[in-house]
Amino acid sequence: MRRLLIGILFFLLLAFPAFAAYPGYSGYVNDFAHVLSDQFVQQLENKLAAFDKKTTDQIAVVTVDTVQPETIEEYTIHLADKWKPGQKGKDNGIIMLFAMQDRQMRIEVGRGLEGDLTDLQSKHILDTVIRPEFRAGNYERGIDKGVNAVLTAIDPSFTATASASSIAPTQDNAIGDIIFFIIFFIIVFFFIAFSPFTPLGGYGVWGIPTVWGSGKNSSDGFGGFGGGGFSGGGGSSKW
Amino acid sequence: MKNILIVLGVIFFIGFLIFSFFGGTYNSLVAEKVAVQTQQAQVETQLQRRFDLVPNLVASVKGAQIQEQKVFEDIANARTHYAGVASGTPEKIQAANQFESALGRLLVIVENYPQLQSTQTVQDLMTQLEGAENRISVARQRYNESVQIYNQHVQTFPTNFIAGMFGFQPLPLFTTTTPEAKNAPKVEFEK
Repeated sequence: MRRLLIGILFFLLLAFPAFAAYPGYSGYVNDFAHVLSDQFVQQLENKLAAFDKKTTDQIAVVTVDTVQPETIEEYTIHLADKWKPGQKGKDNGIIMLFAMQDRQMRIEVGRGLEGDLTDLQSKHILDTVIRPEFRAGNYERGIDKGVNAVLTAIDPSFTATASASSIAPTQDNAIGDIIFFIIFFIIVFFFIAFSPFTPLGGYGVWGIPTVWGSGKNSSDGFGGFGGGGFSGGGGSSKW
Repeated sequence: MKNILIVLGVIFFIGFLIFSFFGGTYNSLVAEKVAVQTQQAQVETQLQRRFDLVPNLVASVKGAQIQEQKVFEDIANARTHYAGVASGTPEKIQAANQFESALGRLLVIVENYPQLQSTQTVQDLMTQLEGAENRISVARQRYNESVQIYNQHVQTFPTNFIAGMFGFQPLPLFTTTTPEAKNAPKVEFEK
């Protein structure tokens, strides 16, 4: 019995690195390589959330240090199979992946968007829009322009300036905040009523920032990716 | 009388168990085989996509007055050969690989002629070809995964008895025979 348990433990340890190779997502924008500022990430997040709300197309922007030992094509399709951006059945997801140390990038286009964003267009965006900025070291501007180009290709009515305003998310925040406050006061009430030993001040104040942050995130409209399918469309390039 | 009823009940029960075992296994084998066939159709769709691109590339190369008759012939032959063999057989996979090696040689020619490579048409064709290649490799990988599940099921105990009875054969994996296909292409910086 003990041997079996040890065996299972060992197996889990072996299996773990395989999972660690493909990180989980925390939003539309996942800056695993830490090359983007928080402000930029938030801005891009809002833009992609607004686009998702309008078109249901889900676009994930990912930076990683390296895709080694895989090729960028292999890594991106595996990540796409794991995350599944886009809606199930519509397969309208896109992953824009930037491998910073490898100086390689790829736009992986979901099956349902292959007609709107062809391989040629993807390659064109990578080569002529993103690459010059990346070569100059302007990663944020390159990604921003690239995302705009992708959004315009999918939805010609999309304009970069309109997306800059984040009107839609703020409205949501208000609702999210109200819900949060109700829940918060219920919890506080609970604490006061049922635990005579808990000093009120410390516990309550301590709870605010963390719950606040998570509540705000979920009300941005990101409820996880929807199960879109990929079959290898898109383009790759390097800089 | 009571004993007979009990015996009958036990027989029915065992009969039911055997029936559900056979039925369940048979059905799951069929489901897995259908999954393999779907993936195989997927691979062939993507291969077809590449086939349709290649004549354009050949035309561009010919248009640039490059005399490489041997490669043009090989591509044409491989293409007819592929169309001639039944799908879902090892021969089909072989034919696809044969076409691949001919295509590889055509691409080497394209690389060796800078004036050819610099034209926008050829650039676009190469990009589309890259996309086709990538789709093929994704479809192939998924085909192999579904074949793996099916083959494992067909060959392991006790399913192998039922598989043998109903004629479920192990299916071939889609492996590439060309050695260069296994290595990622080298990154060459322009001088």
